[in-house]
Amino acid sequence: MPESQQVPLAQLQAWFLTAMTAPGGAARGAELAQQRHGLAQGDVLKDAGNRQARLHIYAEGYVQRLLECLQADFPVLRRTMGAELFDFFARAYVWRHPSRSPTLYDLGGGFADFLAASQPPGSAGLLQFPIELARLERARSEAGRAPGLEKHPQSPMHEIGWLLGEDAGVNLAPCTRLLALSFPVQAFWREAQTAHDGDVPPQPEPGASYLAIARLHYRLSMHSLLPWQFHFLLAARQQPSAILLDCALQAADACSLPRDEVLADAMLWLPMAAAAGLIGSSG
Amino acid sequence: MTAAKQLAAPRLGLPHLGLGVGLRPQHYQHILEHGPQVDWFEIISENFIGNHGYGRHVLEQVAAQVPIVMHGVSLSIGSSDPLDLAYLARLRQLAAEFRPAWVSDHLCWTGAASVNSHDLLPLPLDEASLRHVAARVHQVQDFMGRPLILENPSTYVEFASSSMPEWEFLGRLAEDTGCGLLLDVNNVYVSAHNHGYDAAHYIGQLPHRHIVQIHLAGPTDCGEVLIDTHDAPVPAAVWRLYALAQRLTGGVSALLEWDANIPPYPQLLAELAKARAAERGECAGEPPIVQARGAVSSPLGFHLGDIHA
Repeated sequence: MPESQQVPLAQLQAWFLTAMTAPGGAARGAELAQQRHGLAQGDVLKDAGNRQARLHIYAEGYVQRLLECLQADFPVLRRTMGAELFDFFARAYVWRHPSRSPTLYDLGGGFADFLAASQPPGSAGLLQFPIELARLERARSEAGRAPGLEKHPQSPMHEIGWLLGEDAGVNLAPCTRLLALSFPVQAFWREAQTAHDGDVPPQPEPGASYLAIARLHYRLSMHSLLPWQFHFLLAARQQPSAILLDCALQAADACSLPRDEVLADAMLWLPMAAAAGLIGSSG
Repeated sequence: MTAAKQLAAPRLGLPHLGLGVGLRPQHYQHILEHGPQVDWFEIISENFIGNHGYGRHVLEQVAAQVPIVMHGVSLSIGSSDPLDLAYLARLRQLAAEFRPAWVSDHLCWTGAASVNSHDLLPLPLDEASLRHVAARVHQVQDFMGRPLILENPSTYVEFASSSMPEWEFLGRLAEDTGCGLLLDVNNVYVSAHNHGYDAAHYIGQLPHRHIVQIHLAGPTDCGEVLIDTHDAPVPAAVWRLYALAQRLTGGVSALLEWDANIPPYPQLLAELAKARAAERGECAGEPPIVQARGAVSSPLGFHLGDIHA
């Protein structure tokens, strides 16, 4: 075929991508691709008639590959929802929000929000517990990959600084993740993790909980927080060069607690938070 | 070494690293406890870009002991989208940190219109594509400051507009741009079966001085087609192609890929050891595993998190 009559690469690739990623499989995808890009399968692929099944390899592989990725990223959520329901939402997510990142690590970043947006009106938060499980598992993934404090050993002098001075710095570790939840998800997740294959504990009753995920020596840990501790760390996250006093005041105001009381409690608690890897020395 | 001498030398003047395996999270603990026990490791570049966790910690330990090579899956050198310069900058940064022996990716495209399919998709093999890919290879090599090494993919369909065999496309691309080739003999075996050409002829026609590395893996037999599943031992037919490639190139680095149903590390090493026997002409191995449905090409077992000790 003369080059001048050839279909441009961009059009061929748009056709192929539509055919392999459309919901409903390759045959439906090829029809959709023809409507959108004006090319029949025979215009694009060699021996299209004889080898129609070959396009299925790409179409089925596309969904299956990304599905497996989400299954690996949300193991407890999948067991809790049940494989069928989880896979239904995961497929819908992949179709609605195709990956635009070079790395698959980013794929699950919007899954919890997608579940939240998928709740039918009037369902009274039916999916709230799975949504919070999704947020927990995503936060654990993020905490595992973000920069940590492993290469920045804690200075013992800094702990003394927290005990002595209101203007001591408080740096949230970049890998620390904070979650405000409406279910006690942490205990459920731990129990589900250690349960036998397929077993999941009963869904807990609603109850507000605050949680921090920390990383120390590349190991993740989860810590239940008091409300003021959560707001203290939140304040530290919002201000890169936060000082103890400002964080304590913000936490006290958020929780309607006496400022002096929160400040005193924070001075005693910070060394423990540092030992857990939640915070590090200020610069 | 000057650019001209580099091109004239075998393997573009790059080292013969010996036998290696892909560094996978499932083996971190074993490797840290017992040492690498291989000549070198290949890492999936995207697994370490932006990763400051345990995986990077392990890589730092491993890279201090044996050479590493960075193998990417998202360069999308054949895409009609502009090259992703932000991705390339992060790739270059990772290379600056870990000093790999070389950086490789695939002759494919992974997406268009900014969507990433995370699959290694086939290209139309025609003059326009060749010009398009060659220009982008030049751009990547200029940006990275090193030759790009490109792997032949497994393919299941061919484009109606293709006007040349894949070996010719790769050979002309290599000669034009000075890029290296990562010859995946399993992918040659798979594509030759799927499209009805002679795998040994394909390997024989490549410019052997440009071949820097060989990939080995086991596919799945799905009846009419073979699928590149990386989940099984290397079949005898692939070992024979491996022996041929080693003879024609005069000896290059080889790497065993195993990305799904990943076996324990000792079993992986036992499979790798068969490479030495194959080079002596002893090509033992079973036929590919037969599976009716559900085989997934380009598996993502490498993505399954940083498994801590």
